[in-house]
Amino acid sequence: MKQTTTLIEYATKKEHWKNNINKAGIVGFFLGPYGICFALFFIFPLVFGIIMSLCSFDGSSIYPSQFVGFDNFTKLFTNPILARDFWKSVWVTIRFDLIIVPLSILIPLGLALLISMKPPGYKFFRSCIYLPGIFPLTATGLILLKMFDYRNGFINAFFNVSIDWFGQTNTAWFMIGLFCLWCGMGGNFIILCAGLENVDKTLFEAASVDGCNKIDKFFHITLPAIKPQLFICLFTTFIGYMNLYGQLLILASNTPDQSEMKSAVFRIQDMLIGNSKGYGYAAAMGICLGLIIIVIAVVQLVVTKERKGGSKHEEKFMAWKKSR
Amino acid sequence: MKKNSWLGKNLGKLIAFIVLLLVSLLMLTPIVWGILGSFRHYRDFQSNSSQFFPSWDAFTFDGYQELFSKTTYVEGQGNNWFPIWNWLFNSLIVALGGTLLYLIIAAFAAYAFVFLDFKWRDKIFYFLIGTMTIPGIISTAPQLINMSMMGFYKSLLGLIAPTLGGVYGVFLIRQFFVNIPSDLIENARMDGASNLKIFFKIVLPLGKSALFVQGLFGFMGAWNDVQWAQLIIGNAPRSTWTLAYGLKVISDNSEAYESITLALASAVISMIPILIVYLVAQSKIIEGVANTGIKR
Repeated sequence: MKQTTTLIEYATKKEHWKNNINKAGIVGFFLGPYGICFALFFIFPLVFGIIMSLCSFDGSSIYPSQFVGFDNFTKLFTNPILARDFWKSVWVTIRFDLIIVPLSILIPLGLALLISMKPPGYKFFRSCIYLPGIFPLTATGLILLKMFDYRNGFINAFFNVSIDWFGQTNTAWFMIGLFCLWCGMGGNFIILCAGLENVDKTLFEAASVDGCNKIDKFFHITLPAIKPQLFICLFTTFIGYMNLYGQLLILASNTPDQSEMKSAVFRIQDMLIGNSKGYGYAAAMGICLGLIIIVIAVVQLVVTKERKGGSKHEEKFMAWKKSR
Repeated sequence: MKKNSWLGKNLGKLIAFIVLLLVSLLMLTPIVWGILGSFRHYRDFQSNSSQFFPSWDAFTFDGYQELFSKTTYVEGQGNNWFPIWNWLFNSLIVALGGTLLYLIIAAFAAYAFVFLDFKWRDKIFYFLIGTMTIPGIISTAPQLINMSMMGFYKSLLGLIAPTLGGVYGVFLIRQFFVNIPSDLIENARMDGASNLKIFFKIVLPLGKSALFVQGLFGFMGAWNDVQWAQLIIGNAPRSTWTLAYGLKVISDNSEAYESITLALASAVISMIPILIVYLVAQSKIIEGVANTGIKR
């Protein structure tokens, strides 16, 4: 069989080629700049982090000096000082998370419920509650430091107590928690406010006709309706506080027992800033912490997962309504 | 009877009003105390510390004056100098410059993902979304080395560059672009408009609220950042610091009473630009948090 190419075929083929090159050029023009940045500043560090965690650094340069396999990871578990410091800091972080995450969701939920009743001036109150979170942590933290100062702080003088708020482990953690709530719950609060705004009001009327009280309505209408917002809050708050750092840096730098005041991210920062040049360890710690975050997040996801999709809430609501 | 029923109907609202008022006051108390304190003579903090409001004769501009006069290194004064103009300038460059740069490339990328047709387009986009689940802490250490290798260590570029690879902005802007009716784009194509023209004349005006929201949060995030700043510019000369990081050092140095006014003044200075942004774009910010789930 002899292949023949007519002039028309040849022309369309060439046209096609030209078109393709043209198209690739346009895609490259629009996607290229971001693509390069994404590769250089996102993908490359991720891959390089794995390489770093498998290498040792001799401190004379920023480049890895030797491939050491999983040495950094085994040292994280076996080296007495390294293992103690790191796992203690992970435990300290998780312990704080267990307390602060429920508080950072329940308190904003309560406030959002009050806002959803639309009392006079609710928009103004909403902005006030969100306001502290927009400022630099260093600025708001500095104000707290001065306000709760041991010797001449306003709080100690006003309530006529003398508590060294930042000088003891327990009170320092209390202050960190207070700081996290003061400056950190605004986001959850706004998200939950928006969720409550969108609850179907006709359901409430239907429930009222059936003689439901307020508590029933809350648990069977409001809560199921804002479940997506509660999920967002749970995940972002949890991940946010697993990365707790800035609050500790500004408030707890002068607390005597530093080993009790260092979160996991704090240890990683120390490793990167300090003179030890433990970049390999820092990368390994980062990977360990990242994996812990992923595992806990997946557990949360499985535990809170919807087992049936679709109209589950309505079905449940109707079943509940019928049962009354 | 009638009066009682009015109260009964509105009792919930009344309680809500009172509780919200108290909570709002509580949230604002430290900020107001800090702002008042920045105008308060340091001796008044000692003699009058139980008073929320400073006494009249303690009013002073000393804190601000000192902050703006100790801008250069003086022999024998130790670390007690703060190049506040440099810090303000650096923070503005990082927050404004970085955000604008990111908005441009992210909007271009979002345009490509919505309106251009190429192989594996959606697969690439899903891959991008997938990477958002990777905890950022994994790349902290390698990113620092990455910046060193590129020569961005101890420079403001090292603060801007990592934000340019961010995925969330592209995702957010794409979600807005998807809602633009495709007929508009098709018609413009029929009329022979180029992609650049379509981008600037149709897509950008219709999707600008997405860019605005992303821009606001990008600006606030960059202005407030301390953790990454500490790694990149913490060892750099003072004049390359950002304001948020400089504040940390002012706070460390302010153990002595004489500098409490100065410390509070510097905190207020760092809060003013953010406060202006908040007052101007408050509804957009609140709407943005509500719709997108970004918090800071």
